[in-house]
Amino acid sequence: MFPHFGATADTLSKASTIMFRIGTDAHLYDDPEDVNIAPLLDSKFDSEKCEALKRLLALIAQGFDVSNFFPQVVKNVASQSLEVKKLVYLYLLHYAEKRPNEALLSINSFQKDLGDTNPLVRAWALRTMAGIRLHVIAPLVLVAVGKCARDPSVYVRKCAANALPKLHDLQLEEHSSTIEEIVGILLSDHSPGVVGAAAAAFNSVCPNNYSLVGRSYKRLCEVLPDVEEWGQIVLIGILLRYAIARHGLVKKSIMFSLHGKESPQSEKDGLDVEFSLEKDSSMDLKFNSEMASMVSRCYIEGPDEYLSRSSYTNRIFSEFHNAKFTSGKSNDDVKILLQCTLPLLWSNNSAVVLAAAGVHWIMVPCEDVKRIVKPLLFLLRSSSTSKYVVLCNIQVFAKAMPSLFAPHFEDFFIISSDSYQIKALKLEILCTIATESSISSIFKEFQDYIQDPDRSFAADAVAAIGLCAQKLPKMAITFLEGLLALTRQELLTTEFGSIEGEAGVLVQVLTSIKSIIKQDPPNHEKVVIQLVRSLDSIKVPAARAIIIWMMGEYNNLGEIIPRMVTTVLQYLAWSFSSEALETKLQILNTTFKVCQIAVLVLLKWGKINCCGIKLLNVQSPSIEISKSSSSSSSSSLSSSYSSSKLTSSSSSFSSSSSRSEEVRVDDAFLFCCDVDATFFPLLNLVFRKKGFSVAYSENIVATFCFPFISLICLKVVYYLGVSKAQSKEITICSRFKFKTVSRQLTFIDTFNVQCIYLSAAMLYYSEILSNAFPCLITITAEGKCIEPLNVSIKVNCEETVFGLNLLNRIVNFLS
Amino acid sequence: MLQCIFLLSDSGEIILEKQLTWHRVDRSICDWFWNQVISQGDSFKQQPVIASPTHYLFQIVREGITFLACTQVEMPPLMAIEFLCRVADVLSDYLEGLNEDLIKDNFVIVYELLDEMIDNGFPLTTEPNILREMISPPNIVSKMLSVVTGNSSNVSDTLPGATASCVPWRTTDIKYANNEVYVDLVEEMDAIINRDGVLVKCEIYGEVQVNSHITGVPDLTLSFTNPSILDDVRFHPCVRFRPWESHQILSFVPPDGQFKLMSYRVKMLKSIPIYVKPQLTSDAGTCRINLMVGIKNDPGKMIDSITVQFHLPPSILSADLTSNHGVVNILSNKMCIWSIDRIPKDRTPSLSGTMVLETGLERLHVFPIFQLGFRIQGVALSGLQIDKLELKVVVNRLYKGFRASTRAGLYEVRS
Repeated sequence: MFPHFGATADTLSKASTIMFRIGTDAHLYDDPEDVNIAPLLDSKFDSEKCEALKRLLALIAQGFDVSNFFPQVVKNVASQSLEVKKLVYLYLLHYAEKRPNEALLSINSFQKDLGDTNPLVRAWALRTMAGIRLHVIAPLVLVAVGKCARDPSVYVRKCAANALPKLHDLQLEEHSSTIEEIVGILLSDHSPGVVGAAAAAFNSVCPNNYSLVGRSYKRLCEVLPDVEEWGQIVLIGILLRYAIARHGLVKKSIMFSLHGKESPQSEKDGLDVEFSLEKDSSMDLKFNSEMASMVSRCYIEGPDEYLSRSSYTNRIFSEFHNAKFTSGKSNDDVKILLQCTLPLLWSNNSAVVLAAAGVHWIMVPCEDVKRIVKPLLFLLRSSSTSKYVVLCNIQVFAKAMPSLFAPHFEDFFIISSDSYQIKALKLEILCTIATESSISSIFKEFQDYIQDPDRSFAADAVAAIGLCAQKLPKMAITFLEGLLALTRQELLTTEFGSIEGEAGVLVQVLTSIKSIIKQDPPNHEKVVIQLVRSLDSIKVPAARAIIIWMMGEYNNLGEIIPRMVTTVLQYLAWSFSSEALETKLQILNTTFKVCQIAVLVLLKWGKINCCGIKLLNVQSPSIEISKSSSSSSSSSLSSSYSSSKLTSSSSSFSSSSSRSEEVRVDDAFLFCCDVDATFFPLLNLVFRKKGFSVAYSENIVATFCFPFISLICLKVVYYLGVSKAQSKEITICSRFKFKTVSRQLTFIDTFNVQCIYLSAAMLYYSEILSNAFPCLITITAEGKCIEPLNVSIKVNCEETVFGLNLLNRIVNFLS
Repeated sequence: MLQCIFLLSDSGEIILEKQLTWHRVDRSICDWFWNQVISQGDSFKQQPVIASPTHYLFQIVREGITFLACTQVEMPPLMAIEFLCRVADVLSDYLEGLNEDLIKDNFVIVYELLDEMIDNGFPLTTEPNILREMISPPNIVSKMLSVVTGNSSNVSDTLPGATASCVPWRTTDIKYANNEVYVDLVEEMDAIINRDGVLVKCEIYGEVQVNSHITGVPDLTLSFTNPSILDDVRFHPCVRFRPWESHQILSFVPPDGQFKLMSYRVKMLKSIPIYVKPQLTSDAGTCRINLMVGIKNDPGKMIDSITVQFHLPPSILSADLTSNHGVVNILSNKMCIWSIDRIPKDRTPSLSGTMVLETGLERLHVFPIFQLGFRIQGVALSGLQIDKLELKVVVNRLYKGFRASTRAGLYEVRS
């Protein structure tokens, strides 16, 4: 029974839809071809013609090509019924270009219609005629446009204005002056409706023919509020361009300052005094010049030579009128433009408001710019669709002049219904406009955002905190505390780190902390220590990688960290095999940094008297002699470092004393400095176990330390002890090579130490391949213990600047 | 300038295309667009401006219909967006709604409208008033006529007089037996209460909506007793700027019928009518929620249609929520809606319950944001008051009506 009932309901609803659709054109859209269209077109009844045309339109709407009906449709152009006419026009315009010859047939009818008494008929005829893209009829259309431009009906004149760009598109060189002349006529039309359309025509026909605007500039300004909204948008742009081209940028305006910055050779002294923007870094300067060039591009549109010329005249002009422009308001043209665009900031059309705001932004002295702020902010609330574009604009404004929006930071607070893009933009603006007085409220908001269900947005909020801290270093401590609290809090949740968003937030927290620390590392030593201690509990690989990076970066910082280093490295060595790839890479990186000093010493070759051979092999990590201290490398890292008596590798290296008694043995490193006879048996034992024969000498001279933690291989390729009676030296030759391949970086390090009697030779060869930034760095260091070291570096890189930078940095580092 | 407009259904089907210039835009752009929509999801649909490989696209979405405009030249993006909004407004006004079927059923009208609204990519006639006279909207009579006679033209034979008028928004020669004008203050309250329970932001977005039925070409002035509280305003084109600049008086020739005369904003308000107090505690994999709603500052009128809605955080598996007043609904997308309507005199409405967290999760770390809805008739919470409404040339009898109402706009309570 129920299915039956359901079926009835279904039919009923179907029936009701059918009822509802009766009388509409629904059936035509659904089945446009269920009758033969061609005979209908030739029917003598207008209604049948209409039906046929509607069917054709339906086919066009659905993307079918029905141009084969063109000849029959064209015949109907002479119909007296306006509806048929309209439909024919719609069809004609869609296909005229495809069927030029047949389209010509319709011209006579248009010509006739142009003389019709009904302005609607004249306008339609003109629109359609101009819409047919045929060079042959262009002169005819031009005459028609010229005639219609003087038509008594406003509507027809408006259509004439709209027809001009169509003609211009045909690129009729010989007629261009006539077209421009008609633009001029229409621009000075007494009806505001026509002026708007004429402005649009001006923009596409002759955007740089300022004499046309100049003729009636004042009137155009005055008529601006009465022009319809679309015309206003275009006209504002034209008037602004004219004013800039004619008078240059207004002294004291933001744009002038920016423009002046771009060309420092022009009256620099005068400018710096005027320049009231807050700017503290070269970044701002760079941004400013970008802004200036953007402005030139947008507002002094046109070919390049025009651009250069106009900026040149600007400069001359501003210099010339230096005295005149002290108030920034003495130029009549500028004044009237500002006056007439001011009320448009109240327009209901957001595009008009934005265009008007643009004029004021560019032309008004700095202190008056704030009048555009409220209208812009109001746009954000009153029209949701334009929110994104408006925000993009505000962002540009705010970057150039943060003080403008600083008091209105509350308007950029985020609500849950904002789309992700809008949220991101708002965050960025908040960062830009944050000041010392507002930052505490903003920070409070940010903290709220971190708990937002949208985790990628939460991560963005964290990043924003980092940005704010860079901007306002005074707040850095507060921010850091907040962020650290987050790491602790996030710890609880990382257990089920499967949720991607959480990991993202945590990584972002650490990135922000990293950027804050970077600003002033000595003050944040404790933070680094705290983070390193939390390594145990943080499971997200990317987060671990950042902490490990910090460890390496700041391994020299303060008192405590250098003492932690060894233990941390032990811990990392212990956990190495279970780490994710990116973490592994950072561990290697950190180890390398920690050993930088070591390597340096190594490179300074003959001076050292140390021996350190890493014997870690993860597959068989236990070495007999290491058992004594292997427990220290277990996971309880945080407590062990302070109790560890071991000095760090770096410190033992930097003391290049000839005799040091300290000997360190653990499972990560076998380390000996000026090994004396008592220790040798131990060494011997190790090497014997590995199947080497060891020779002993009182003085071990040529050795190297390389505490890389390498999984891949550590191979003592050959070991040669040459003991000569007179020198009593032992020489260890080893070859070390490891290769790590990851998505980001490829290292190929080759270490070659070949000690041949009395002249130990070393070759360090390292190649770093980066896929992320295509480059290949080759570092070669060669030397013998009695000769100076040769270091050569080669960077092969597609991007020269990057390569040079890198090269410089390496050279600095090595020297 | 715009080169082409496409109307797409919510399944990505092209309902119709309208080429605007000679630079034809191939339909394949829509395929590209829809592929992006599918691959990038909702965030893509919320982007109003998109750079495709070949064109700049502007889109707005109304009632599931995507209005997509393409261009290859530089133009003010807001102009395109505003225009599309206008098209959508006009269409939904004409078709009395907006959906795929309505557009398909009336595709000829849609074509005619588009053709009239935009010429060569630049807006031509967008004034609804004039459009209505040029192309008559479908109605019962015309439908019946077309059924009976098989013929009905909706294209007007004559050019509307308003095209030449300096008040294009007003149809000429209107006659009414009874002259009446109604002014509504419709306000929306936006508020943010942060996780500490502090009112971070509270402001009013308001509109002055006028419904006028007056003979001839009336010239009205409207003034407020306290215009200084208005933080910012936007006007219908009919409002003259000068009187507002000098005396803050609205002087205008109204369009016929319903329209939005002005919108305004009042910022930095200090009091909210309703409080929402959320409490969430979580422990050992469950979370207890307790939500109380009550009147904070009595506006003096009945507050009704109170609703609280929130998204359950994604980490919540199930929720068991009950309330001592009103109805609680949990939708399939984890949206929870608590409809309270009016606050009873004898008790404070509260919602409480337990929620089970995802396995492995001990405590809740992401907290929901509560959106409050309410409506108050008869009061404009901004405090804006209309002083008087005057007609310059007095017609024999003019009935004037004033109303005010406030409802919650973007009203959020974070927990």
